[in-house]
Amino acid sequence: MKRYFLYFLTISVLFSCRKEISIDFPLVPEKLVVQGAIEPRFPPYIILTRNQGYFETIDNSTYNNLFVSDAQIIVFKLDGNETIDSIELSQEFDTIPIYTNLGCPEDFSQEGYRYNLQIKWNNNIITSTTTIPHSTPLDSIWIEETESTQDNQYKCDINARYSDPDTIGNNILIRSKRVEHWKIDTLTTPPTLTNEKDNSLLLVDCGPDILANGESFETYFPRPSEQGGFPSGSYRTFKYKKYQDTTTIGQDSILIPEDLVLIKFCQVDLAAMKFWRGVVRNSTSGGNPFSEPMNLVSNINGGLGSWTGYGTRYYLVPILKENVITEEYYPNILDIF
Amino acid sequence: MKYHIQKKFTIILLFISISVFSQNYTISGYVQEESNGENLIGVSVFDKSSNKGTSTNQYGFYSITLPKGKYEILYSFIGLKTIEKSINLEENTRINVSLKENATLINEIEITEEGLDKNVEKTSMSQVKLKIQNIKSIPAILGEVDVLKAAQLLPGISGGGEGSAGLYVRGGGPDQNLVLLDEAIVYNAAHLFGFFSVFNADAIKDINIIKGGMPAEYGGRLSSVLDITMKDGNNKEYQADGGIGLLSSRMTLQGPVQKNKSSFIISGRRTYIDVLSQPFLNKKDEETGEPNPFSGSGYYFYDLTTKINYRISDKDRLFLSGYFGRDVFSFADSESGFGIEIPWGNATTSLRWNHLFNDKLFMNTSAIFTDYRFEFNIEQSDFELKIFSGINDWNHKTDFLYIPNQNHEIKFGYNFTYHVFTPGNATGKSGEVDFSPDEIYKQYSNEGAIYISDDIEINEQFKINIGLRYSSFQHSGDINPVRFLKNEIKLDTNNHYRHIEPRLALRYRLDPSSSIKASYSQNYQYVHLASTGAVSLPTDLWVPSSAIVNPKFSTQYATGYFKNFKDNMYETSLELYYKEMENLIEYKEGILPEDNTNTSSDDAFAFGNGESYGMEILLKKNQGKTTGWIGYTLSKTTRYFDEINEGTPYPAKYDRRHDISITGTHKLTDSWDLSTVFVYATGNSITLPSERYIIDGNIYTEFTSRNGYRMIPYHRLDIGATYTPNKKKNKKFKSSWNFSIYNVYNRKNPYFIYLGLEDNIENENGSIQDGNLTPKAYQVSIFPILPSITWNFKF
Repeated sequence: MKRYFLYFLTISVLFSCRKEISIDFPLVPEKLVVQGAIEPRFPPYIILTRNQGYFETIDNSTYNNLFVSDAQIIVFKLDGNETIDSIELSQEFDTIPIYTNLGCPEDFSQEGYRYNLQIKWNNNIITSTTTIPHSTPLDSIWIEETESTQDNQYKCDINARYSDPDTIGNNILIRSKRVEHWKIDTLTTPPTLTNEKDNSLLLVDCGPDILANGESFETYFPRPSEQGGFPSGSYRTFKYKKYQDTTTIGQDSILIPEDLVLIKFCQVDLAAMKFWRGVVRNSTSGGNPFSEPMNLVSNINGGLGSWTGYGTRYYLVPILKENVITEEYYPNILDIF
Repeated sequence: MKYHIQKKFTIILLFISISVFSQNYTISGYVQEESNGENLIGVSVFDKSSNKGTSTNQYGFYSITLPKGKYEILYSFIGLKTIEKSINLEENTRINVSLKENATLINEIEITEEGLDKNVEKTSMSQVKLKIQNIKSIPAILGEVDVLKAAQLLPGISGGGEGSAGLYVRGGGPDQNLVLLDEAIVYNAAHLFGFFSVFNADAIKDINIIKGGMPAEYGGRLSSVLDITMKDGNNKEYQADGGIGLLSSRMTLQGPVQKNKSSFIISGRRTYIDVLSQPFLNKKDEETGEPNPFSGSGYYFYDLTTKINYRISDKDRLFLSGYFGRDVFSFADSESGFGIEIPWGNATTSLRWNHLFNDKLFMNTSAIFTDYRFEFNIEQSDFELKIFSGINDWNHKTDFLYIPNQNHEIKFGYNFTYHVFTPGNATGKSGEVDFSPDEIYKQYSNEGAIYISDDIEINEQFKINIGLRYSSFQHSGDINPVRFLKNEIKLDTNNHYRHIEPRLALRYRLDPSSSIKASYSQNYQYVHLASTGAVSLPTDLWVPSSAIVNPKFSTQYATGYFKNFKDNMYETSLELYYKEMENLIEYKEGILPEDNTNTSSDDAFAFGNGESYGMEILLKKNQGKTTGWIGYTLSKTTRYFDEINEGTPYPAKYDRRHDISITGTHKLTDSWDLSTVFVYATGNSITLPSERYIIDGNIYTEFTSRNGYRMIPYHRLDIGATYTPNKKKNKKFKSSWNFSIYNVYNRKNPYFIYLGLEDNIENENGSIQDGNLTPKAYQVSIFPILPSITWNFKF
């Protein structure tokens, strides 16, 4: 909301000017940043990084050094207050700095259970707790052409109908990624197609169900950007692209397939909702100098970040106009990162 | 301890009631300005020989009781000719007086304490009256005369920042000021997101500012009172005043409905930002010929002030006054079908009846309605969202002024307000589905108070003002328990707050031109402004006290030395104050206002205490060709919240160590008047991020020290000149030109600081993964040197 006040102030104050200033801050203590998740059918998976002072430089070496690989992690499964199971996590992949346990039994992560996280690092113990809420599926998903004044008929939106249970607290979180997004390389002859898919499931939105409680309603899922910011993009259905200056379709054109999108529709608990809603808010209105400073509300004791239990439903959505999807999709572990 | 103090007050009040009256007679009446029949507030009425006297109240009424005898009574008001009346006092006497304009004193700037040594003589301290003609002579941004910005030039009062019309009084927040317009509370006193106040100077007669030692007739706020009285309207002849400025134009009409008996005034003002910007917004793209997608965007504000009064008899007068103001901001993007509209504003209505029971007992009773509302409407395709909040007050109050003799001035009365809060509601629509709640979420409260005070002259040296205020606050109506799910505390209608608020002021007169004063006051505040912003925005919510939100409470101690020189040509004062505040509220860290949409906000708040202390020095020159004042404040304001800043004390965001203001006018010739303002203030304290981390491949910041960074000091110089051609000619049509330059030496004062990550390599998109980002900090300044011209007219 206040983003628009900022727009207004920026526009209305015609004479404003800015100048770069230098600010000195004291050194900040080192903290562990946790981005951990647990969802049914999959082992818990966690990325650990360090914090930085705001004005520390960012270059390739400092970025790579942010990842933490020397932590010891245990996840406890609780039924009520009683621990009924536990597993240790370690870095299972050489290329991805993720802690997980590929040998974890499938029934370790279940809806309705609480999971405690314990991390030992630098002689500190960092803890957190989360719950995997019961999930509610979407009624249906369908594709429609994006409403636009421009002539981009291949641009489409993902629409959905959702019936919210009549209980407050079904906090919603949505992620999506294009598992297929084809681009043409016209420098080769004949041109080739490359899949420039999204690298990870990107956050679309997160929030409480206060306004929608008990309602059945239509919504749409805009495409998020890997650079963050307000998710407002659309998807692309198939199209023919001419690559030579002739008019005969078929011989001098190439078919660019439609996007294939993985939707992760989840319920999360209150603590997780507050954290991820803050992430959304930060990316959509971050930098508003008139708002009170807002830290992300972490549920990590002794650190930053979030340990989130997801009650998940997945949908694999080919972007084909009028296509209606009601079936869920069951991804493999590499799909969910 | 509190009960001990209350007991003492009760005993003193009993003492008052048994005071013995001798064979005295009373002179009473109304004082008005001859040219237009306006009742005059604060006219000194005193016996020339003994120098004993009083001053007219808010309705121009005075009452002075003296022993049988002959007297020379003086009626004195700066800017008007003093009148002397010879009276052989053998019975109660009614004298209504009209004061004429004193041409030699016109346009001298003054902040006055009502008359000769009045500031030294009276018990009250930390009070200032601003005269509207003085405010008009001060240079202003874009020529917009602003009463709140003028008030910021007084010691102890600071603004929120560059261009802000907010008031922060002795370490208090913006919600701790009782802003009254003809007795009606104004909840949001700012137009244009805080840059200008809602008060149209053309319709205002008098402004009384109380920074501390609040008299018992005022309550419901911790820090200050800004009591603004509207003009009654010229009851002699029809008159039109107006002005054309760079930002807005205004017009005021006033005149008699029935000559000398009834008059009206109607005054309007409107900006033309929207009109001026439309040609740019409507301009088509030169290359594509496409219309500008933002052509539906714009902003404007307007306000309308009106008042009518009727003298039923010499003892009864009726006043009906109203204010209606709106700001409307709209933004439209036709390409995406996205649009927002944000209207907000105040409306007030006051119906008042003055009645004179006898020469010693005056009554004013009022019925007042106040409405403040804010809306935020978003529309995109078939999606609609409306967020709205507001507050309605239905208020009835009656105040009595009883002056049994010259040693007592007793005030008593009651005040009752029925509040209807709409703290934060939202309705939505997506296609055919309506997300509107079954009923609009509202909260209902009753706020009441009774009070009594007496201004007692014990002897030549000692004078004491003692007062008690008993206030209460209670909810009424059904409360939805869903609102308190989180901590399972239910608010019920039995939740009733009752408090006694003692007020005490002492004066010890050292000699006729100097005195020492002290004051002590306790205040409770039952309604609270919940703000997430560093500046006052219309999105801020007013919420009532509840089982979770306790009333705010403050105790203020102040003492001061007052000294006048050269027959009041110079006035000086030095005041020291210490103020404690409890149960202050802020949003918890990380809370967003929409968390509580359609529910109570109570769980979103953190509660804490505050402390402020300081020294205020004021040097004034009241007479001569050059007049003005110098104000200096040395202060410190701290907040203590368990849930904010990890429980450690932090400076309030409006904490200022040093604040200096110099204001002056000089009468150059009969046609030319010059004016200047210089201000210097310690930079505002703000919160900046100290560290960052990565989530989902993007950077997020962590703020560790609340208000831990201080911006560079604020200072600027403004100059102004008013040219009044043919000033002495007795023409019906009069006009003047006001020229002003704001920020003469083009100081780039910080408005805000923001941080950003920029690419190391120009013209390439950076990312943290590529390791080519550089954190940078920028300071934004908004008002460079700004010349302006305003043409004012009157006929």
